[in-house]
Parts: sequence; structure tokens; C-alpha cells
Amino acid sequence: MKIKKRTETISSLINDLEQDVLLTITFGNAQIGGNIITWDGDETIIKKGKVTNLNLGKGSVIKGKTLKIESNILDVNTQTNGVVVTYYFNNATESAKTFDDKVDNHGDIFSLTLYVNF
Amino acid sequence: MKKCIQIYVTILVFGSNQFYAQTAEMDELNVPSSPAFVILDESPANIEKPTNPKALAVSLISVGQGGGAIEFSPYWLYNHPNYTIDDEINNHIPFWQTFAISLASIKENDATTVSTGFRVQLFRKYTDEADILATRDQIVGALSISPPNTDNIAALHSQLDEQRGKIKWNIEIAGAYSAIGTEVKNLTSNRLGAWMNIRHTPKGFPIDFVLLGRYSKTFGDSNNLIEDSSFIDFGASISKRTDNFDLQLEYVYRRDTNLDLNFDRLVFVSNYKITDNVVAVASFGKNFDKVQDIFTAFGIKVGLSKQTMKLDNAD
Repeated sequence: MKIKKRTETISSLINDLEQDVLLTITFGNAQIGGNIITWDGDETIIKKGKVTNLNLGKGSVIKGKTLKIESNILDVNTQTNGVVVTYYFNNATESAKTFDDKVDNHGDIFSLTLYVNF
Repeated sequence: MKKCIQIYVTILVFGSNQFYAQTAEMDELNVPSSPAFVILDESPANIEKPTNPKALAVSLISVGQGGGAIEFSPYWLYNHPNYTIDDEINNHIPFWQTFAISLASIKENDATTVSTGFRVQLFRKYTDEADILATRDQIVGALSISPPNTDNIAALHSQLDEQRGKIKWNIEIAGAYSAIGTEVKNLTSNRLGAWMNIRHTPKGFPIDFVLLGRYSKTFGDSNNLIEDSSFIDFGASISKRTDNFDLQLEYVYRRDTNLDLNFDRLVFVSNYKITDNVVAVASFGKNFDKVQDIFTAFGIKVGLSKQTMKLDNAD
């Protein structure tokens, strides 16, 4: 079992500083994924595992901060080695961002570290 | 994408002359995984499995020009960001996800035989979806640790594959067609086949049930020197499989629609795994033939592959 790593950075403006920013992560291609979410520079884990409507905080509070999301995807689909993950942000200009890639062999892991600059 | 390749040598200890013919047909209650190759009566040495449109185009050109074989699933040529593992487990009509096409061409002397086939699951329900979802949750948990523990995840993945291999209900169909000719404009029909398979593995009951309907037709030549022949088969089997042994009772009713004749066959087969690469085989029963139709056989299958053997693929 190999782990293929990749790092990406995106920037997203907050639409309404008075409203909360929510995050949902989905893994497509019938693959299984897990997440570890922290604020960059702080080792405290905000959330692990499945992420649905995770409240990252009020827009004015998180503005200027960088969110670090580590998503690990296991290829469990015998039909494809393709992996695809989508990050949905509520109350942000980058409302959905999708990344896709391919692992070499069935059963390998794809590890994406995404930095989101608010 | 994984594909186990297993090669066996069968050593006949005692049996009738019909042993080889019988064992070759023992798996006929299954829908073939690559119908286009079955209808050719050939096992292509190299099967291209393109996973994106560009690779598919290259493979199609290759097969068209020099012969070869392709197998692909149109649905999986593209990513599906919204099709999650939960959708997959709860999808009881996975038509597009399981629809697979096989294509092959073989050049012999001046003639080329081309074949095309498809296979699709019309209905699928896993034996225990709750267990699968529980394992999925464990995998999600294991993937949410940095860095992931690969040994633990590999073990959970094996567990998941085993659970997804247990299917309570499965209905599959397949079809294939082949034609032969020296060039495209003079291709003539060669063979035609259609299969339908219904499998049932009751939860908590150690026996599998299989029903199969099959139609096969071989076209005669244009000079009427060889007549068309066609068969309709209906079959049923019950089997019990464990880690070390495999017992199967199979009945096939065959109707020769050209000669207007009916035949049937009843076979009992047992496989016992002696070691990881050696399987003892015993079979007896009644063949399709109208005379001398009783046969028995005992043998040993020796696996030449280094890969782990699975009894359910031993035939």
C-alpha cells in the first residue's frame, strides 16, 4: 500500500463577515476518505473524520487565518483508481473546489493537504 | 484495478473420457465476465483496460489495426465527484456503474473475427449493508489519523472487500456477438450469445442458489454447407463454499431449437483445498449425451500461479 501525497493552496474571500463559514467535504468515485482539520500553526484538531456543515466560525473571526485540511482517500473501487474530493464552503467566494487524481494501484491511499487562505 | 490470473494444471487420476469437456463447462452457470472473449472461444493474452477517454481511443485504434482485446466501463472513464461510497452501497440498481463493454478482434490467415459484448448488473443487494457501513466508518476513522496506519487500513480494506463479496441478491445479464470476414463490408455473422443470471445468498444460511438462462447461436456458412445451430439452456445450482471445500450440485436443461431436441445434465462437483496451490477435485453425474451419459472423475489441480488461490475461481 502506497501513499501518494499532494499539497494545494487556495484563497477564498468571505462573503458576509457577520455570518458563520461552514465546510462540507465529499469523496466521489465511491472511494472512502477521512479528514484532519486544523488552523495552520495550531496543532489543535478542529475536526476529524467525516465533515458535514462544520462551523469554522464567524467570518470576521477567521478572516486572515489559514485552514489546513488533510484528506486521506483509500481506493476501494475496483472499477477505477481515480480519486476525487470536493470542498464546499458556505458563505465564501470559493463555494466549491474539486481536486482529482489517480493512485497507482487498487488499495493505495491518496493524501491531499489543502491550505485555505481566508 | 485488480485482476487475479490463475493457472492450473489438472492431473487426472481416474475418470471417463468426458472429464475435460465436463470440467470446461462447469462454470457455465455464471455470466461470463468478458462476453466478447467467450464468444470468440479465445482468451486474449493481453487485455487493454482503458480508464480514460484518451486511452480508450488509443486502444480502439490498436485493436482495429492489429487485433487485440479491450474491456472498459463507460461510466468509470470519467470522475464522479458526487457518487459516494454510501451511494454505491445503497445503489440496488447499479446499471451504469456495472455496465462493461468488451471488444476483441483476431486475425487468422486472411480472415478477421471481431466480437463485441456487454455485461451489466440489473439488481444488487449486499447481504449485510450494516456491516459494510460499520467497516466504512472504521476506515474513515483510520484515515483521519496523520499519518495513516497503513497496516490497519489494509486489514480493514480486506474486511470490506470480503463483506462486499457477499451479495444477497444479484441479477446480471450479458450478451455478445461475433462476425467474421476479410474486410468490414463482407463481415458475416458468426456467433451470438445471451446470458441472464440470478444469484441468491441468504443471510445466515450457508448455501448459494443460482439460476441461469442462456441462448447461444452459431451461424452456418453462406453456402448452406453448415447449418445454423442454436441452444436455449436453463440451469440451476446450489453450492456450499467454505475456506477449504466447495460442493456444487448443478442441473442444466438444454433445448436444441434447430433439431427440436431436449437434453439435460446433472453434475455433482466437489473441490477440496489440500494446500494453497493444490486442490483435489471429484465429480460425477449425467451428461447431455443420450448414450453412455454417466461419468465420474477424480483429479488434482496444481496451481502454477504464485497468487493466493480462491476456491470460487478454481473451475
